[in-house]
Amino acid sequence: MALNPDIIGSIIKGCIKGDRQAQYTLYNGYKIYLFGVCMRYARHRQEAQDMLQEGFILIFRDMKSFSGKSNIKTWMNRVMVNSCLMHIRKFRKIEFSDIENDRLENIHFTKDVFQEMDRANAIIHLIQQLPVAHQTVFNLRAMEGYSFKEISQQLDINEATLRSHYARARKQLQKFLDKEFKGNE
Amino acid sequence: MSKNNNIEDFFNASMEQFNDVPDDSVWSGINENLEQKPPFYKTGVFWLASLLGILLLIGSINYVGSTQEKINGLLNDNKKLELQNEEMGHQLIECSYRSLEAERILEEYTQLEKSEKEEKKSAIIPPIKKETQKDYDKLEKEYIQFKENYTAPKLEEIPNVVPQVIETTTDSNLYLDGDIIIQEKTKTEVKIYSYDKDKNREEIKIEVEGVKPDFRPEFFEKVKDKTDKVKDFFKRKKKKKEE
Repeated sequence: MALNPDIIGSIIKGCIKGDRQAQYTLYNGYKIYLFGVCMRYARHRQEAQDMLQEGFILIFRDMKSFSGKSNIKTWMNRVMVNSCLMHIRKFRKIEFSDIENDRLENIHFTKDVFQEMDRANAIIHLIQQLPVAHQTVFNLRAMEGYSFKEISQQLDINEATLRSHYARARKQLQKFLDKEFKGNE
Repeated sequence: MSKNNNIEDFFNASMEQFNDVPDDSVWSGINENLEQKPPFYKTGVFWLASLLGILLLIGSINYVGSTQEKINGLLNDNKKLELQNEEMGHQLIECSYRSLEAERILEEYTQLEKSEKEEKKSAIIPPIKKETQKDYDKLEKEYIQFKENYTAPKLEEIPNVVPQVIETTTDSNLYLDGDIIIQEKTKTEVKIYSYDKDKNREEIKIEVEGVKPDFRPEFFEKVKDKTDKVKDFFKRKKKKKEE
């Protein structure tokens, strides 16, 4: 449910004041989009819901810092990503070691699965199978569009390592998709 | 998909189709969390109270420190004072001792002064009348003449006196020695010595009427009046010694 641009300003003001109705309206307007973001960073749906909850609480608490110069969706996306990263740091260990489990080798998507699931969920499912480091770097780079420099600053990992992880993640996904689609053709 | 080589575009395009709705529990959780009052440590009151507490603590520490410094200073001063007091104590004892001694001396001195004053008072000689002055001058001349003419037999070894021989015997000489013991307004106490051949001395004090017990003939005349008494004294003394 996309929010009407005319009323978004008043909703933001309401959110800043702590108006629960305004907050719910904003939540309702962006919950699907931001849930998709969380799903990419999470390992499963429940964790994604936890991330979403934490992210929205952060959004409502930090709403005062929204300057209005950028799009509210972009700003919320950024806050949500940060919240997801905080969650990952808190509950999981991101290992940027050279040895990575090639978990995708063990996954076998059939044509039926792609047909049963919508493409977005299938893609999310694929990303969730990546090692945590690959998953995080791939999301930040490919999906959020952060530069390696920005990711390096956020995760405090040197750029070369990040590039390596990104390349591996990309290669794995590409390989898998190629195999799946070719195999099913 | 196989024709799409740009995996990023493919994934982003795929995500646009995402339509999964989170459970209602998510909003319930958010709502519940937002209703909760922020923890006390996150409130401004907490930070203000903390700041005040810290300031109070620093202030207290400084106050205690400065007070301790003052106390230490006072204790040091006290120690110094105690040491000084100890020293002073000795001094005070000495002082008190001295003061007692001084008091005693002062008392003696006062008494002496008093007696001197009284003596002075008593020794005030009434102004000499002209006639008296003439007589005195006459006597003075006579005295000088007497002194010039005076020859003291066998008295070369007796110091500081200009004696008047009272009596000369075979074994002793009796002289009038010039020691004035007390000179009062009307009488004078003088010592009279007796020397034997071995120059052993015996003495007797006698009181003579009159003042200025110098060696004026008048005075000696007065002393001579007592020679019998003096002679008796020395005789008795001699006898006693011999016994």
